[in-house]
Amino acid sequence: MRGTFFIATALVGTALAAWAPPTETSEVTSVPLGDQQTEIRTSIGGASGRLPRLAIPAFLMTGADAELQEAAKTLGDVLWKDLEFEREFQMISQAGAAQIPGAPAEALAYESWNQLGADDVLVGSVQRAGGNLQLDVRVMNVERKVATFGKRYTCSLRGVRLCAHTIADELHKERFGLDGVARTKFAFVSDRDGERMGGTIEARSIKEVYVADYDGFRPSRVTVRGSLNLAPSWSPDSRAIVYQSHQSGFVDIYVQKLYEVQVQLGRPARGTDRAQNFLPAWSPDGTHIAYASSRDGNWEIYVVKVDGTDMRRLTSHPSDDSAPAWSPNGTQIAFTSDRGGSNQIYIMSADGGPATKITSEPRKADRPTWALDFIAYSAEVPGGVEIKKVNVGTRQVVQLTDGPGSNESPTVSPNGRHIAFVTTRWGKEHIAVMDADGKNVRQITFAGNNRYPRWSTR
Amino acid sequence: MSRFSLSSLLVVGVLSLASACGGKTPPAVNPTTPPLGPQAFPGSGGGTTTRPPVPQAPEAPPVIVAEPAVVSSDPLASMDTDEINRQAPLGPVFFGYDSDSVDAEGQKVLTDNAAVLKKYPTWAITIEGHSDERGTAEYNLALGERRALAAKSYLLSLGISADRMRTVSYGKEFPFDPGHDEAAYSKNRRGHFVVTAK
Repeated sequence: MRGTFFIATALVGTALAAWAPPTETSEVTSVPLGDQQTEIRTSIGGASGRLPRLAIPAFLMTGADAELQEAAKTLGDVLWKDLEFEREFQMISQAGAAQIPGAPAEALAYESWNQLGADDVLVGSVQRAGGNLQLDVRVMNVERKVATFGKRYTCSLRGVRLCAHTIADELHKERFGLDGVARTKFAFVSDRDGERMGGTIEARSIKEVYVADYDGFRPSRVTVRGSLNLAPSWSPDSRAIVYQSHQSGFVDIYVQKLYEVQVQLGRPARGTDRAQNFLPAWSPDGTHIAYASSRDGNWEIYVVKVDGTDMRRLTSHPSDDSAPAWSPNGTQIAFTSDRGGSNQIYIMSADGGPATKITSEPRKADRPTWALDFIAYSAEVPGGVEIKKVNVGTRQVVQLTDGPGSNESPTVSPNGRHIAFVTTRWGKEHIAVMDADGKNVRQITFAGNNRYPRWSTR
Repeated sequence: MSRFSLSSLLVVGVLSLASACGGKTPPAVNPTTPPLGPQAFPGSGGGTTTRPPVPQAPEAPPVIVAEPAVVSSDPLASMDTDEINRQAPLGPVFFGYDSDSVDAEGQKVLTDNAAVLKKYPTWAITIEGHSDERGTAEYNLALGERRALAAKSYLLSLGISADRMRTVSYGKEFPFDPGHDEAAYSKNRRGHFVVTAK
């Protein structure tokens, strides 16, 4: 099951370019090399109390054409960043690793690596195999001089980044039992293509939905609506999105499959002059969309089946209720309401009923996103907006950002260890990623203005 | 299928809808006005996919047919909606920070707008609600809608028919002034009027 999957964004790119079936389905397959000592996988590494130190020397090549060299460099660079991202290894710099001459696993200069401080050395080799690349990857334990991870990967030249992401995820899983996020993606909204909205004399840039790898690479535009499109949310299999579009002149909610031969659209909530629909969220079981709508006079929370049937209203209050977010198990919904006088985060059963306030922000709280045992949200503070999280059980609040700029719209990685958000700290609106404790902020978008990030569900 | 044709189809759909809202008014035909060309949309270089193809002008001068609805002394009556909107015959109504109430100044603007809408009883409009950049994007979507609805309610009270008015919220997505100070914010907190059919 884990061995074969599509290169998702490659297909998106192809579909966008021509609205035609993708002609190439790149795959990554992996098989164990059989020489790793799996029984010691979790007990080796650094001394207790510190992370194992991992070095990744440059991938060895059989053959030396420019394309292969480029692939080998990309593999090493991406893998290094992927493994650094989860902070399970203390990564030895690539410059440091380059001091030691490359060698295959069976001839590794263990003494040199030991002097460099490495506990583990990831030895990779790459060669052409038909039209594809074949990679052998082993992680050698420096002290015991044995392989603790060994797999052979076959991947396409176009899929080099995905190949590296796959290695990182599989190594994290085998070594630490960790579900890494190297193959996850973001959906977000951007005006980066600079196209102007029609039907208006004002100079307005359209905003379309894009999908990119978790590190911001390989961005692909997935909507072509020539309008304002906001608030994408992923289906639980991460093969479809739901979003709001202003294209019709009203605000509709669309679902769109991303990797089908033809673009398939559904419209579970259709806008009219009296029913504008906003901020959809796909339920964890894949059956329903929660959203906010003004159809009964002011903003309330509704759920509807993905096919647009069986719409039900969950809230009934003269104040506005907005920004629904499902709990991870789908039994509860967090949302924003100003029923207490200012916008705060509330939670209720996914069937509606009484709501419980869980934030007490001095100003406003908004846009909850629920992961594990906490809800991250945007909090208005003097001078801007900052990201906070509240523990659903204890109600303890932690502020995760403190400028610069305004920081809002948090979205949590599937493993709960990272939070992406929108920040103005670099001038325009860009998406940044930080660890769930607020540390290690990295910029992942660089073009246009970017809002409404949503981390894929897998 | 190209992106162009898909967008065009969608735009045609929107335009059909817009003209349907214009009631029984015949299409605005003014033979003295050249067909819309790309120059009618300054700065639209990158966004040409959002307009249907413009019909070619006929070779021979068209026969001028008397149009009783067109009053030659009234320039607005002979313009298409883009030209009308460029004249901004309906003024924007501005709002206070985080507020959706129409103040005295706004009431005066809306009273003037109501007079214009009564003078041109076939016009249909969209009222856009906008906000400044402060606060979350999500909150400002709701605030923008409340502002648009507040302006619509006031026009209703002045006798403008509901079926001539649509509302839409753009939140903080389309600021009129890109600045980051109160001078910009005060321009961006607005109900903005667009004539969509005549």
